Amino acid sequence: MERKILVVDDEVVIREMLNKAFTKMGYKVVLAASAEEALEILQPDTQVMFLDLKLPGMDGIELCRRIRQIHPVACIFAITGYASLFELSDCREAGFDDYFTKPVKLEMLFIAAQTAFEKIERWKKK
Amino acid sequence: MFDPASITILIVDDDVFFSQEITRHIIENQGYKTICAASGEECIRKTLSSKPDLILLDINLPEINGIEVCKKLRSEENLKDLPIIFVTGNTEDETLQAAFEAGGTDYISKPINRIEILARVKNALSQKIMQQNLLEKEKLTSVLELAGAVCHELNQPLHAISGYSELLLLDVDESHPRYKAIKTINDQALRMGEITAKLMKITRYETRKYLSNTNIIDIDKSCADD
Repeated sequence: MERKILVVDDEVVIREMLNKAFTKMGYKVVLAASAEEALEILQPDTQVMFLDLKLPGMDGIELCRRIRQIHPVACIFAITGYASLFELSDCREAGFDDYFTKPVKLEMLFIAAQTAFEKIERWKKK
Repeated sequence: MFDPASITILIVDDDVFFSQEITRHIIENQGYKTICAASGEECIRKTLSSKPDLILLDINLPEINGIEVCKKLRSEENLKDLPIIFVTGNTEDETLQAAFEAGGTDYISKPINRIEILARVKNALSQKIMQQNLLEKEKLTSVLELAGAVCHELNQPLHAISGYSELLLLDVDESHPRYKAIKTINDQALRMGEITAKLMKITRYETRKYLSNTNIIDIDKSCADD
């Protein structure tokens, strides 16, 4: 099955960079520039997501809460440019699996994505 | 609120054997450190050299009187907030008005009363400390606001630079002439990320010397401990 990753970031440079990076690693990447767009295009088969926290309109925390209601087993990661804007506890409470601060090494994101897919696939086998 | 042993009070009185001695005795008994001066000129000199935390300044001094001394001290930028309490036998309106206009913090009338002098000294010192704390808090708030804004703005482009350079490295072999240059771009972008991360952890306002008269905030010392 195709491994799909959703990337939500309002900056086109970041979206494109992450698109290239995850595509290079063999993933299918879906991009959204806002939380609203993400909810609109989100498919049930997208199980790994990287969300920017500061977004125009609905923020990443609220987006994560909404996605959790539809996708309880998805692996959702926060990427933020300003760690103190949201507390770690807010991220946990919203249902994020982990948290990265910009600038983050792509290597870390690759490991997170790989581990996430492995975890989801293990669950599916059960 | 403060430890008297860490406070130095300058007592200025030309009546060295009586008035100055009584004041010194009362003040030292309370645990404060003291230095004494017998003239306006000596007061200015000792204020500049010993940097006392408070001055008890007699108004009637030979040559330069206490009011003139106070004006001179207040003209120094770093002495604008120094508590100066006038000590005077003359409590006429004109004298008191001149004393406050010269920048006096408070006054005590002679003959001095132990309870009164200690209470006024304590009040003046507490007020100074409160003002300092408030100033510190205001400075910290501005630093935090600025740091937050700067970090957010910088982390976005840094994320793009570090990400793209890391992507390039995936395609370039270590032996390639461009490898080192791209690796440097990547390392330095991540290094800048470490600086912005530190900026976001600022909890104190500590400065360090930069150029001759400029102080800049010391990011390492001002950070919350990991």
